Amino acid sequence: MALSGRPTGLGSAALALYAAYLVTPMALILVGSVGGVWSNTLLPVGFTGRWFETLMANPTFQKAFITSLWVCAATVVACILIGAPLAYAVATARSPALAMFGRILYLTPVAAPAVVLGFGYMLAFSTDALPFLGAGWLTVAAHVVVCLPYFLQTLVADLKLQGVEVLEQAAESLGAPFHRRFLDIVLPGLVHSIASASILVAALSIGEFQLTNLIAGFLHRTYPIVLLQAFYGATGFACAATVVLLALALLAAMAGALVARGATAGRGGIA
Amino acid sequence: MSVTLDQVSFAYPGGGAGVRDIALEIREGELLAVIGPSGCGKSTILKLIAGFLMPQSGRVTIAGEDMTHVPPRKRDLGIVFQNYALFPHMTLAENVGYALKLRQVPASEAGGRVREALGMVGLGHLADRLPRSLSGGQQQRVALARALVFRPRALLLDEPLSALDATLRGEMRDEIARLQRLHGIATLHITHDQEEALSMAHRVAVMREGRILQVDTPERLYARPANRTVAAFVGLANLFDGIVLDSLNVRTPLGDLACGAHPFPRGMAVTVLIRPEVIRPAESANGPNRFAGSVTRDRFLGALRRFDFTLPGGQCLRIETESHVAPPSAIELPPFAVQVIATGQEGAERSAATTDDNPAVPA
Repeated sequence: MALSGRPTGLGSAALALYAAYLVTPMALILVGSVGGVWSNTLLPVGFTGRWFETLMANPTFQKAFITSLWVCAATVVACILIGAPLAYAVATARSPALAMFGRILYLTPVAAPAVVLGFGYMLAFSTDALPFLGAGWLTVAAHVVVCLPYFLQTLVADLKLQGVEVLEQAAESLGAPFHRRFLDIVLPGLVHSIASASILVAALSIGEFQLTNLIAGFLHRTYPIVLLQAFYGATGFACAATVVLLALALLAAMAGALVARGATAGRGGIA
Repeated sequence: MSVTLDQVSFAYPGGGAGVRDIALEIREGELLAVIGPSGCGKSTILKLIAGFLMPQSGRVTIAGEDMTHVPPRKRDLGIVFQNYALFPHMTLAENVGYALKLRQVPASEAGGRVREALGMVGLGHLADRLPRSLSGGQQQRVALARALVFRPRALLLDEPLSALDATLRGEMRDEIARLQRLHGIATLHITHDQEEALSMAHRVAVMREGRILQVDTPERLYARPANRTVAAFVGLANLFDGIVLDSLNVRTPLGDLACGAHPFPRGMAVTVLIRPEVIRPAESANGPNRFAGSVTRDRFLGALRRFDFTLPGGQCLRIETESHVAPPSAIELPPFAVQVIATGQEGAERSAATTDDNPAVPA
């Protein structure tokens, strides 16, 4: 039911404006990636596929693309392994003070600017005692720190929505020890939110630049790091390189939306 | 098998209301309801019996066995939760069969018992459905089947009907009472709905501020409340402060009233209870225990009519009559209907002494 007095087209107009604001740069990049020459004109002149051919033949970009994929995969796996038990611990903490401490702890990386985290990593891991700056696993660890809060937020909210504490009490009263409750009741109930949170983590990890730029060594540069180099060259090449990243991110976002919709339709809270 | 709480006390960390010195027995085959206002500690009692909370003092025994420090999963108690707590990713059959799976009951036997349990609550044909596709009443039936399928030693019901609408609540009351009597299982029923408690339970415990005020049959709880608090909580009541004149007379703000026999000494401050349905419309105000006045509010309730009858001095009494009765201009309070009861906790102590002579659990 519409509220009286509200201009009817206001919402649609706002949405259209936002869509234009969001889509225009992406559309320009898409056009630029297949444009021949783009210099001092509103739009590029000519049509070509050579920028993508050049990109695919470039070993630096190939390697960075593969690095991004495995860093992303490792980040997702680590987030699931660390995040699922941690989310459970936060959501079921008996003490409100402990629950609050947990929330502050895992939300800190969101509040702290990436550059601060990056300097911290540089200081900690560039010493003789811990000479790991530039190691691939350190990049994964840093991505986990950046992505875990978002993963946890999703899972903790879902656990609370499900009323996991009461579900566990029900299972316990039926005779289930802790490990059975976790495996039979908690984890199956989290399948959808783990899937959607994983896709969010994947999208964040693939696009992560600030922190990675400070700590990734020459051997383990991710795609966004090498993408920066492309901007110093031909505009078409830079656009083509950006389109690849954009496609990956959009793919992740669409998959996330689909999984989230499935999760919402799939179940409610306590039944 | 019976369940006993022996002088159990529990206080929540941070000073939340707990329970104090609870002595309560749920007898074999008995449905005992615990009623009381929100925060009185009734759900805490259930959690203490279930093992979700550990008492700071006292003992919890089940079938004579000390279970005070035994974890919930080893207590063998069927629990029905307020919001059903069905596992959303499991079918009804899987929900009901989960306890049997944990007990490693052979699949063929477990299948039969699951079918039997679901059949018992009329949902055998929905065994493969997920809980979300069921109505609230159906979900509650599944929760009952799940709680009973493993033949628990006792059944605990935590406000099981509060999430249902009025029609379903009525149906489920009968259903729960039927299943409880069918299984002859000791059952604790936590509820804030006194009508639910009075209509279903063999005995009812009334709680307030972490203490049990009275445990009695529904009939006696209504007819002979131990004190003012119980009288006010169970059913409608006209309550007045009184001073005992002698064993058959009491002084009230309405005037001196002839009353039913009572054990209180002359001069003691007491509470006078007059139930609305025992007040009679009268032809005139001439005679003892008769008063003139006027109806200041008239509520038609279908089979009944409820009047607010206000005396010239401003005192108001609630009266319930059959719906065809006209608003009276005078009323009579028969002496047997004027009950003298304790005002404070001493009534509860008297009641505790009478609890053990309750009739046996009906079949």
